[in-house]
Amino acid sequence: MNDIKNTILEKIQHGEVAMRPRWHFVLHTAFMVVGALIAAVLSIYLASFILYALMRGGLVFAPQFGAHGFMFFIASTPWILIALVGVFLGILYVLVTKFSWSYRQPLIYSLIGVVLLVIAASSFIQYMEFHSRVRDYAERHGVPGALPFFERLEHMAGRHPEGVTKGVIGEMTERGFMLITEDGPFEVLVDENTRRKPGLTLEAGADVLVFGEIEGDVIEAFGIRDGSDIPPRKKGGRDGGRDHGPRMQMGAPQ
Amino acid sequence: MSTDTDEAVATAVQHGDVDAMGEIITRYEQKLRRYARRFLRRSEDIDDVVQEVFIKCYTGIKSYDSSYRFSPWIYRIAHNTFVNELRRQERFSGTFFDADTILPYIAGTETSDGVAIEREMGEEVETLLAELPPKYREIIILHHFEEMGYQEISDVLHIPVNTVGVRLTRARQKLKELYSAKPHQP
Repeated sequence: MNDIKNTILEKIQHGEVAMRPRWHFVLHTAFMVVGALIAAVLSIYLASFILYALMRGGLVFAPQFGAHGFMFFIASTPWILIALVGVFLGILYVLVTKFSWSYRQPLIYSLIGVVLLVIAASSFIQYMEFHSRVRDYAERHGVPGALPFFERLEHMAGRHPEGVTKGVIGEMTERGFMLITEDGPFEVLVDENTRRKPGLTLEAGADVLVFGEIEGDVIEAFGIRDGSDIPPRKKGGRDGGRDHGPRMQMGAPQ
Repeated sequence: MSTDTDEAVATAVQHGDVDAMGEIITRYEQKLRRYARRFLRRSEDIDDVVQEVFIKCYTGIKSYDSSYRFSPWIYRIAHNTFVNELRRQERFSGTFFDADTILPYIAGTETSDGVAIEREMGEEVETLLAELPPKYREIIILHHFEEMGYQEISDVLHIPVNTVGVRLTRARQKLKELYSAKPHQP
């Protein structure tokens, strides 16, 4: 039985086995803390960005228009970015479980805590208009690479989803109305299946957000709401000049 | 044999006392051999695995905080080493997410039922243990053979204390099922 003891003591005395210095463990812990912080910050940043893009793009309002709107919302939600948030949360989970205190309570509490933290922090960041300010700053000061990165992220996050069109009503037509947008005019078809937000009056000059599939210059609307709280898309962006085919020449609303 | 506490001996090792490491080996070799033999279900090559535990203990001793008990710390190293050994032998099917550690449970307590089951099974417990899945086998070993309390097992396995109670109850239940399924001498 003394074989193990003798073997190990000999190895220690001959320097074959050595103690790791304390700084090794301190550094290891520091890396885990930094890693957990980075994962937490990235999760919060991305989650708040998705929230920002969904709000500013108007997609978040789609479920107001019944099953059609809900399905449209599901189909247009930026699942890739949401999955990326999930990946960062997974990394955070793994790193947190490396700390000796993490096992003392059921992990469901830690998971709920992390999710609530991300939701609360994202909502706060969105409320503070952090992303809009960063975008404006990058635009005004011409920070190298910042604007293309921001626009790429906006595109991925559904800031300008296909099927959500913001514009001003030019004139009413028999089938609906003409919508003047930054990409040109569209004819919006309105029928009995088109849902409107209660209290919304469709008249020339009204700022509206139209939900519906775009076919050439025609939008078959399934939902319309007030668009005054949605800022216009910036021109010159990555998708700022997307082409929907030839446009009808329309005058600006009076 | 020194009368110092394990924690004091471990602190001496941290300060470079090689003989103190010898004292730790003397105190824990028997216990870890027994734990390894039952958990790994084999008697050969136990020396190598136990030696690996002590080497890891020595190389990592500076990460030990002497304000905590030493026993769970070294058993934790042993647990990790044995689980790696089982994985190497492809006998361990432990998954990354363990539902037992995620959900909250009401605190469990020691029951006379559990003790009675093992008394009834007598020496057959040792044989039946080998047929239990590793996570149930290990908790029976730590509680009934190494005589650890729920808190100590929680510190070794890094699972919540309430989960220890739940897992132990399930392990006993499985043991009972195995015992009932076996033919017995009248």
